[in-house]
Amino acid sequence: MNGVARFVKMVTFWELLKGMAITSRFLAKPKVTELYPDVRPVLPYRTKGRLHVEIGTCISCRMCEKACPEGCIKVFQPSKEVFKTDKRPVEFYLSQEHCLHCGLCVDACPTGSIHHSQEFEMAVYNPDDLLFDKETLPYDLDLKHFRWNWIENAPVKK
Amino acid sequence: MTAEQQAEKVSPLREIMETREVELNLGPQHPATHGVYRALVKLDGERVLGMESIIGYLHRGIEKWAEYRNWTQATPIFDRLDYVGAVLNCHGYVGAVEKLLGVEVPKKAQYIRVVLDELQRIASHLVWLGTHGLDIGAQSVLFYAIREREAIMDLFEAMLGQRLLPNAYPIGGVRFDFPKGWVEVCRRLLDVLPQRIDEYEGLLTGNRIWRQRTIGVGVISAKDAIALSLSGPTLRGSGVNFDVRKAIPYSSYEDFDFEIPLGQNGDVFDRYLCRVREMRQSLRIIRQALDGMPEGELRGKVSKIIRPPAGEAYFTIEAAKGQLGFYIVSDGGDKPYRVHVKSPSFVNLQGIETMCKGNLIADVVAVIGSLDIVLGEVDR
Amino acid sequence: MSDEKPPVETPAPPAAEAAAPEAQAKPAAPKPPAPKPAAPAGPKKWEPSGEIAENGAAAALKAKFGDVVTGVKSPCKEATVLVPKARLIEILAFLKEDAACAMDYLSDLTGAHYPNNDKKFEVAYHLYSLTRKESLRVKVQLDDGEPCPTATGVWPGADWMEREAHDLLGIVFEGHPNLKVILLPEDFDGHPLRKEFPLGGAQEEMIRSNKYGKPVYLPEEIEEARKIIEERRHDS
Repeated sequence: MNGVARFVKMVTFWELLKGMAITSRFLAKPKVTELYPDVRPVLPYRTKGRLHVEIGTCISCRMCEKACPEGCIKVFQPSKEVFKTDKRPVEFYLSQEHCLHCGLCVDACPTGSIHHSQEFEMAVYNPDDLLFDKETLPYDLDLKHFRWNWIENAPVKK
Repeated sequence: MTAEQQAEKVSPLREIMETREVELNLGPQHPATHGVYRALVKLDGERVLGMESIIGYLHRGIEKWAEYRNWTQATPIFDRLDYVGAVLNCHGYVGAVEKLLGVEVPKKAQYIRVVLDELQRIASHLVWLGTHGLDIGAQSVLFYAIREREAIMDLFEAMLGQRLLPNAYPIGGVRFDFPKGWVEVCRRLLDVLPQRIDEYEGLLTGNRIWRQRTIGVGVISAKDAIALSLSGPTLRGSGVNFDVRKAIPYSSYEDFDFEIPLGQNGDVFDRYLCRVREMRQSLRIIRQALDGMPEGELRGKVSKIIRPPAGEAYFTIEAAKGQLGFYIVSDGGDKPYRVHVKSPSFVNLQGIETMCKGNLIADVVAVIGSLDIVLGEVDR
Repeated sequence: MSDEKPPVETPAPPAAEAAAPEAQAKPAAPKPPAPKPAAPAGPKKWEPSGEIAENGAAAALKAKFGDVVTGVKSPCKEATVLVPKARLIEILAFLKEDAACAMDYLSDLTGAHYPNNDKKFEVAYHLYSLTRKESLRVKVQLDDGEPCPTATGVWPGADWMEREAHDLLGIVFEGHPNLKVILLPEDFDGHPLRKEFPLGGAQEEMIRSNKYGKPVYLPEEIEEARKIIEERRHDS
């Protein structure tokens, strides 16, 4: 009996038909692909996208600069006189070109001023456009699509 | 026509058609080599007589790079070793530093690591399954495998923030707990995946074309496999019971109940079966870890500037490809003095000559696929 | 600092005072500060800390070879032994064959460069016993350019690992069947994992001047940094 069944399976290409059945079952199933450029995906809040710096809360402690493995952050502290009252950096350079998106600067920041945003479209025609300074760094976040992840993640010490 | 005349007519042809060994160059840019891997194959007709591997096209000097960063900064670069199993690489390095520091990782962090590691192992095996199928000619598996991998990548994105190279663990524990709703999504995936693995097996395991292409191809005996220091499913396909998770338990693997699938013949088909069964075992481990998730801290006590005591440590984990070892040397400073990576792909690739000898040239592609090499890890 | 010995020119203090170094240090304060303990000649040597760990294989090895095998300190209690180069292969073969050791699996083979030590190179063999589930690290020390006997006769798997160590560190493995470059290009000059080798390689200067080759290392002065960034913006 067993031998007959095996013979029938062999002649009818049973296991190949089984494979065909699995494949053809997917014809009726819904699509799993995303229509990205038309429909923008909503990313989870922990997504490590482009770095975003809140210059207003930055105290120019340079912890992010020391933590960065690729040296893409450079912070310039204000002079000692100014630093007593206003701790915001004089200049903040960020080279997104070399950023690994590792999140070590976010870990190091004591005030939660630097964090990843959900911005992921970072393609530019010129690499120099990825070099940000204090004026170009904070950009308008469209809050419909992005949520800042530091609200939930970075411990904000006061 | 006399016999002499005939011989004269044939002789120039004979010179052209003289049988000799042919040296064929496979790669470095070849769709079946899974990256930039070049092989010089010595052929007698279609039989492989000998083989020489030429690697190093993707050498980036990761070990040297790490010596110029401090212990924390060196973490993200090791994700780039095996870029389809990045979380496991990160675990290897971080675990080595923790061993040298003598830091005890909290139980909860260990369990979270186990969950993420096993998810990554499944994702890595799915990529292997798809591409291996593609190499041999089973095209549809790739689409299904990548679809399931995408679900795992989404889980990683929600948990760690990145899909491919997440820089998963800090030294001493994990960064975050699972986000809200993550565990439910993960459990749903765990319910779905066994059926999906059944589908892959339905497409491949019984398929006579697949069986003819894989059974008895690329055989390596257990003795040879141990002598060549192979590891992972490549070793277990030959029937050697060596899994780092069982042999040298790390990160609470001794708490979980799972089996190590073993092969018998050490051919391509056995290695395939080992990996597919390993995926099912990984699902079991994840379920146990999620059920028994303890409460507690997420990070052990680690100072901000890490200065391990002078000395050396060797820490191994079971990565998706095999035994991944990190040999780190510290001189008491804040930078690694020397980091050496024992990458399973590099060592496993040594076995290819033994496996291919005597097989057909078309089987070389099947053997490369069955080794599951990632050239980023081979060349470092 | 408190238990540091007084400088040589001062008379040796009585034993009672030596027991209370804090009290002894105070009267010495007005004097010119005592010279710090003589800095070790040259840069610091690399030396492991911790204590010597033992396991079955290390004990069996010591029982057989005696004084030749010395234990090495390890901060995380990994059994480590240092063996002389002349008897290395004999010891490795013993470790593999002997039933009390049965180190049949070569897990890793690598080297490291210690330019400040007397012996400049170390080769480390990480062995594992599949049957006895025990690991052992065997180390051998070498001078610069001193060849190391090959372990390919004991474990064929040492082949590529030795080639890699030869490639990156310049350790010559004597008797290796095919000792040629494996990871580096064939015309590469130097051994990158040696400590004197610069990170960017021989072309380091060239890479730095390359506009897109490396991260921007901006100068400490803000004016200069601004100027550089302005220049880059103008170029584009």
